Formats: sequence, C-alpha cells, structure tokens
Amino acid sequence: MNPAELWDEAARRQRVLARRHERLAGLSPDTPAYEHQLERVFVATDELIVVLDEIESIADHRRLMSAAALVPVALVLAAVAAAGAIPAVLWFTAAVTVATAAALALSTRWRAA
Amino acid sequence: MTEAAEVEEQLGEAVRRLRVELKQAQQQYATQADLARLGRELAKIREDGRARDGQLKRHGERFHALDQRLGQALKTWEELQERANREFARSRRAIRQLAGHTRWLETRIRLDQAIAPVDLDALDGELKDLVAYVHESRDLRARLLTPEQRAEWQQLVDDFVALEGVAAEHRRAAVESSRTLAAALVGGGRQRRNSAGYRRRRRQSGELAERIEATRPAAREAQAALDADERRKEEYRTHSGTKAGAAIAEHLRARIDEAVRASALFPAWFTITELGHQPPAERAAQWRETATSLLLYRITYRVTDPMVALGPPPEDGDRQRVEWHDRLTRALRELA
Repeated sequence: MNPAELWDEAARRQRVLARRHERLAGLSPDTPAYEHQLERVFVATDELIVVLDEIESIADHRRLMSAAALVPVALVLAAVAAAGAIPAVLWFTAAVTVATAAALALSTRWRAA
Repeated sequence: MTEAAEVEEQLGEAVRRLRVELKQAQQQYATQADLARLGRELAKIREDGRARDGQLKRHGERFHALDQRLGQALKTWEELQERANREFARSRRAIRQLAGHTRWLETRIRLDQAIAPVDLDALDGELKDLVAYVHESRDLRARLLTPEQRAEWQQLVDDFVALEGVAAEHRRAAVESSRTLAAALVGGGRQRRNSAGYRRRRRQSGELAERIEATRPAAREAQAALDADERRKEEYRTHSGTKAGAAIAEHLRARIDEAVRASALFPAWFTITELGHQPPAERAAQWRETATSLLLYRITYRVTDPMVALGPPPEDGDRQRVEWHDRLTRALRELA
C-alpha cells in the first residue's frame, strides 16, 4: 500500500472503530453482549494501530532520508563559505541546515523509542 | 661613769632579769594547771568506762538468759509440732477407715435392699429433645470458622477483588485510549500518545487477566467457605441453644433436689468428688449449683465416665469447654 492508500485505510478503520464504540456505549456493562462488543472494539483498535504504525514507519523513513540529504548540502555550503565567496550568510545557512538534519534524525529516534 | 650610775644600771639589769623570770614562772604555772585539769578529765573518763563495763556485763547476762529461754521455747514448739503431725496422721487414717466403712456399708445396703444409685445422666422425655437441641447447637458452633481461618479466607477474596479492580482500571483506560484513537488526527501527537497508552494498558490488562484466571479457583473456594460460614453463623444465632441449656439446667436442678429430698444414693462419679453424698448445711445453695453445673457439663459434652466426674481434660481448641472445666474444678475445690 502506498502512503495515500494507507491514510485512506486509517480513516476507514477509524470510522469502523467509532461505530463500534457507539454500539458499545449503548450496551449495559456486565452483560455478555457488552463483553463481546468490547472485544470487537479492541480488535478494531488493534487493526487501526497496525495501519498507524505503518504510516508512522513511512514518516520516520522519510525523515531520516531528509536528514541524510541535508548533511551534504550543509557541507557544500560550509565549503563555499570557507572559500570566502559570501561568508557570513552561508555560514549561518550551513549551521541551520545541520541543525535541521540533526533535529529530524533525533525526532525519528525519539518516536522509535 | 659615776658610782650612782653604775648602781642604777645594775638595778635596771636586775629588774629585767626578774621580769624574764616572772614571765617564765607564769608560763610554767599555766602548763601545770592544764595538766591538772587533763588529769581530772582522764579520771572521769576512766570512771565512766568502768560504769559502761558494768552495764555491758549486765546486758550480756540478760542476753544469755533470753537465749536459753528461746532455746527452750523452740524445743517445746518442735515437740508440739511433732505431736500435732502424729495427731493429723492418725486422724487421716481414721477418716480413710471411716470412708472405707461407709463405702462398705453403702455397698451392703445396695446389695441387701437392691438400691440402685440415682441415674443423674439419664436422658428421658423432654430432656432428651432439649439435650439433642443443645448438641445440635454445639455442633453448629464447632463447625464455625475460627477468626484466623476467616481472616485467611477473607484475605484471599480481598486480594482477588483488588486484582480485578486494577485489571478493570487498565481495561477502562484502554477503552478510553481506543475512543480517542477513533477520532484523533492520524500522525499527530495525540494519536501517538494514545497508541502508546493503549498498548501499555492492554499489555498490563492481559498480564493481570492471566493472574486473575490463576487465582480465581482459590478465590471462589474462599468465597464459598465464607458464605457457608455466614449461613452457619446465622443458623447458630437463630438456634436458641442457650435457652435450651437453661431449660436443661432447670430439669437437672429439679432432679438433684428430688434425689436429695428422697435421700437417694448418688452415683460413684458424684460422691467421689467434693460433692459427697449430701449437701453441707452451710453451703447447700453452692453445692446445688455446682452439682447442676457438673451434671450439665457431663450431658453437654457427653461425658459418661463412671469414676471421673469431669471426664478427660478438654483439648485446648475448645475454649468454652476449657473455661467451664476450670470453673467447675475451682467450684468443687471450694466445696472441700
């Protein structure tokens, strides 16, 4: 499934889960029907979480790729600045690029944790 | 120097010498006076010492006399004690002989006139039903759980209920997270927090469910034991064993009164005790209460021993019986 399909799937499963919650709210606790419906809610939640995990995994991958791409850009900018072409601005831009790459990489690690 | 001046100088010298001699004479006289005074005091002290010696001698003589008298008194007392002991021993022998004769006479009379001792333990008519009721009540009480057993069962049930409570709390939190996930923006912080929370609560809930299933049989058993005990307790409460006990005591008291009135022969287990054959005139009421209590004890605990009135000593577990046994032992001793 591509990302767009995954998002659609997540939305569909959220709708299924919401319907099951509605039905659960209409039942009296401590009845077999309630227990059965509760089990269905948990199943729907587990299925939704599987899709959400997949979406998150793709997002993490993209973030890491972006971070990896930003590092060479920062290096090039730093080299040009070192050559003395347009000093101050390029140093600042290279620093911001490195910080962004680090932030992206760190946020991916944090989410994974 | 003139002659007159020489004479004057010699006279002056003589006066100075005389003054010195006078001073020495005065000092000597003072020392002699002190010695005389000390001599007098010493003489007085010696006189006092002699007087004290005389007193001491007199006291010693008196002490010696007292010691002799005390020795005589002790000897007399020992002789008296020896005589008293001999008399007591003789009296005990006489009492034993008398008791033997009495028993022999009792046996002869029983054999000659075919007198059977009164059957105090007999259970007949209404008494039989009352005693059965008391036994039933006693059995009910014996089957009740002890406070320690109840506490143990209750602890099991409480632990199980607490475990179920914690599991329910985890499940409720998981449902709440699930409800939030159904509406949360995909990829947002709220969605991520609730996904993590849901997973954690479901895992904890699953672990607790396993523990609950493992402890459920024991908890059910404990609850069943407590319920059964509660039913038995209620049954015991409604079972008027105490009233029946009072009614039995009334019957037994009347039986003893009748036996005394008819000068009936009491059974051996009764007469062997301090109760004897007849109530003592000065403690008749105490005798009757003790006899009634003893008879009630025998009937309640199904004591049928023909010789030992109280039967074998009760076990420590039956607190009520132990207390009753002790009370009776004391009461019998007081009658002696």
